[in-house]
Amino acid sequence: MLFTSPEFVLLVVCTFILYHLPILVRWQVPILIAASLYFYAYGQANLLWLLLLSVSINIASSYLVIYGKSNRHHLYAILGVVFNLAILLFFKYGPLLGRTFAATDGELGSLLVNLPLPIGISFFTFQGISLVVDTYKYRHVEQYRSLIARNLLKHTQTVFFFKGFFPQLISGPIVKANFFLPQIGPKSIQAVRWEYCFRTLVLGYFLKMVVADNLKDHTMLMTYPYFEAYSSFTLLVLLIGYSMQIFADFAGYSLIALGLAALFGYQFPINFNFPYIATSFADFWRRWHISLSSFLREYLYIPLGGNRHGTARTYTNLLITMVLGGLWHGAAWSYAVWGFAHGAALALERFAGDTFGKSTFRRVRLLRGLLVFGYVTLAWLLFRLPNFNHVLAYLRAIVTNGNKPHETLAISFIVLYSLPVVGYHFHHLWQQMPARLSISENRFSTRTALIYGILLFMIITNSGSEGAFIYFQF
Amino acid sequence: MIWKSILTTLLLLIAYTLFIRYGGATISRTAQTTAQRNIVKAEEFLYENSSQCDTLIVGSSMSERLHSKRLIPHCYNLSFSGLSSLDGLYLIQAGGHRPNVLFVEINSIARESPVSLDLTTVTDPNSRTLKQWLPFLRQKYQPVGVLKALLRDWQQGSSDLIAPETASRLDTALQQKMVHQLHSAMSLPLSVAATDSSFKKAYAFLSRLQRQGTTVILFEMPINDQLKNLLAPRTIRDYANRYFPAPQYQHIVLPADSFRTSDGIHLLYDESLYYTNYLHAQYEKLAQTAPKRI
Repeated sequence: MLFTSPEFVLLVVCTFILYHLPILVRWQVPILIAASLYFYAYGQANLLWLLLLSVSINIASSYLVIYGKSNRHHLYAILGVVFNLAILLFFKYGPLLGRTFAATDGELGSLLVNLPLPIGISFFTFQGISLVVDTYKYRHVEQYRSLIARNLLKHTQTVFFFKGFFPQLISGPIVKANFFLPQIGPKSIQAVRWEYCFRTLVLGYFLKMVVADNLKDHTMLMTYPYFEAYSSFTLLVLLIGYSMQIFADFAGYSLIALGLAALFGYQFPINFNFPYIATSFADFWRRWHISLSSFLREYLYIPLGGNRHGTARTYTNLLITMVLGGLWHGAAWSYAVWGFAHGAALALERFAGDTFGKSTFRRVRLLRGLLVFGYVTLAWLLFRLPNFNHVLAYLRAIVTNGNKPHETLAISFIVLYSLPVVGYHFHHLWQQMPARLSISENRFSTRTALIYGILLFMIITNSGSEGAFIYFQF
Repeated sequence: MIWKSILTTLLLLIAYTLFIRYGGATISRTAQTTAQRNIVKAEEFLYENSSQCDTLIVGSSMSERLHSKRLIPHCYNLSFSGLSSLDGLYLIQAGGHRPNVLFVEINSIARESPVSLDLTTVTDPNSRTLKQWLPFLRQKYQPVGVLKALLRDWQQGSSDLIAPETASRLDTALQQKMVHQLHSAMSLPLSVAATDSSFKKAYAFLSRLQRQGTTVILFEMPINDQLKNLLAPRTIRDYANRYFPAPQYQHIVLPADSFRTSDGIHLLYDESLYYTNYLHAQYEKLAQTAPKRI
């Protein structure tokens, strides 16, 4: 069920009404669990059992970490993480391993290659790991311990809700247990932040339906071998268009998730913080898919040793983290190459910073920003064309197709639909400037209302063809 | 702030509806992409006068290149890029319109249409009612597409000519690569179950239309010589003859000529003109010899 579909809107409206009925306050969490199960089953009813299995593993392991025998807490935590990872490895990477290491016509190979990919598996598995690790880490902190109810039924309900809450169930943001569990409790309609919900939902839907979905229809031209007919300039514009599309698609989704959660009184962490104004690769990863990068830092990079064991080990840890982060995005070696490209850039940047120091000159920062954007955009090619040979063909075409005719119309549309993303980033920069403070709040509020009115008009009249969110496949 | 925003949206929608109401008739070819071109064509068929056309063509992007007005006056081309003849037939059924003559391209009957190009949103009864009354919901009137059309008309006049694909603009290396790719794909056997299922659906549509008085004419679009006798096209021809036997159904057979294409399956501009003329001549012959007046 897509966030943009009428069925989804109906589900949200019905759930919202039931959720805020005063006589059903006691049943708020079960109502959201039921809505979440319906949401998941609507798309993949045959794999609902897997979500239930994953939830059960996390219910058991987190409960035992607190209430099991004290000398076995460590064991329960490890078992919880291992089971979570086993499910992810089997279902998500089984086909890749089958294709790479087993004969696809053999029994094992055929089984692995034909495994269905459960939607959202990467997201709900990571949340499960977060629950087990956080519970183990904070098992002696009374405030956290109190969140793991002794009553198993209540604990089951909490874990179910934490892992399955529908706004983030299939594409994040990845919410950490220590962030979400304290929020669970009765909510009243008076506490709903309407203006925040309206802004995030309108902006999210605009980015997804008007920007990303329209750009998607134009970046279709990046299909092998058709792209070989286009000029170098067209290919570069298409690549930049895809970079804007992937941002609008995922940032739009995250904003919708934030707005939906807020309708039910819950808060998710911000997932995107204007990533294309980043002036370094480290800065980029503090701004792009923040919930994933902070998860990888907290649960992978730091446990690997982080930067505590010398320079060489730091670089190695960065590479390992980013390659695994790349593979998290998809079961194809091109994602590992994408992760490696980012890991190498981070390591090189760290090396350059350590060796030459960091420049504070504005022009140098601007150049660095352009370099980061260019590199990040080039790396997205591995997302658009998972076949590595096609990536090479695209790069070759950029170099050799200088004399071919431009696709003027496609270029114009890509530039036009990319402008809101550019404007969104520039508006953020403008807001940081001192001049902004001189504008009266009232005038700004009226202008903001007009802008959101126009965005809503564009959602109604100018949405692109309906398409799944790019990150659904992860 | 929320009410101000909603009020702004409502005012914009009213103003835009008035603009469509009083200036919409002159707006044409607003689609921004191939997929949208399909939807706009379907919308125009359902909501505008096109449904009054008494001759229709259903097919894929191959038939989209036919010059419908040269084929027969009052002819509407319901061929869709990336889709099959079945999609056009579904649309005719959804529109509740019975044409006098229906040209059916056989090349694409068995092709499964991709979900991304799906036309069900156009035929869905609920959204149809809404779009009937609220034209700003139609893809044809997307502001960006309308802006494109207005700028184009202002720059070039409202000519219907689209820059034709000619042999001089052809990338021969790319063309060879595409022919090679198609050669591999078209040499493979078609799924019997899927092909049967598609032809059964087509038979259900066409036999009903024929019973209601429509003259059904099946034709094949010419493709590259290296491809035309491969396993897949031969199988399709066999199926077409089996499900729609002559003389119960009218057939126009391919001429012996060779045709030049841009990518193996799509005719170049001149060739499509030539083939349209051929279809027209064959149609005239059929009209003269047909037992009932076409």
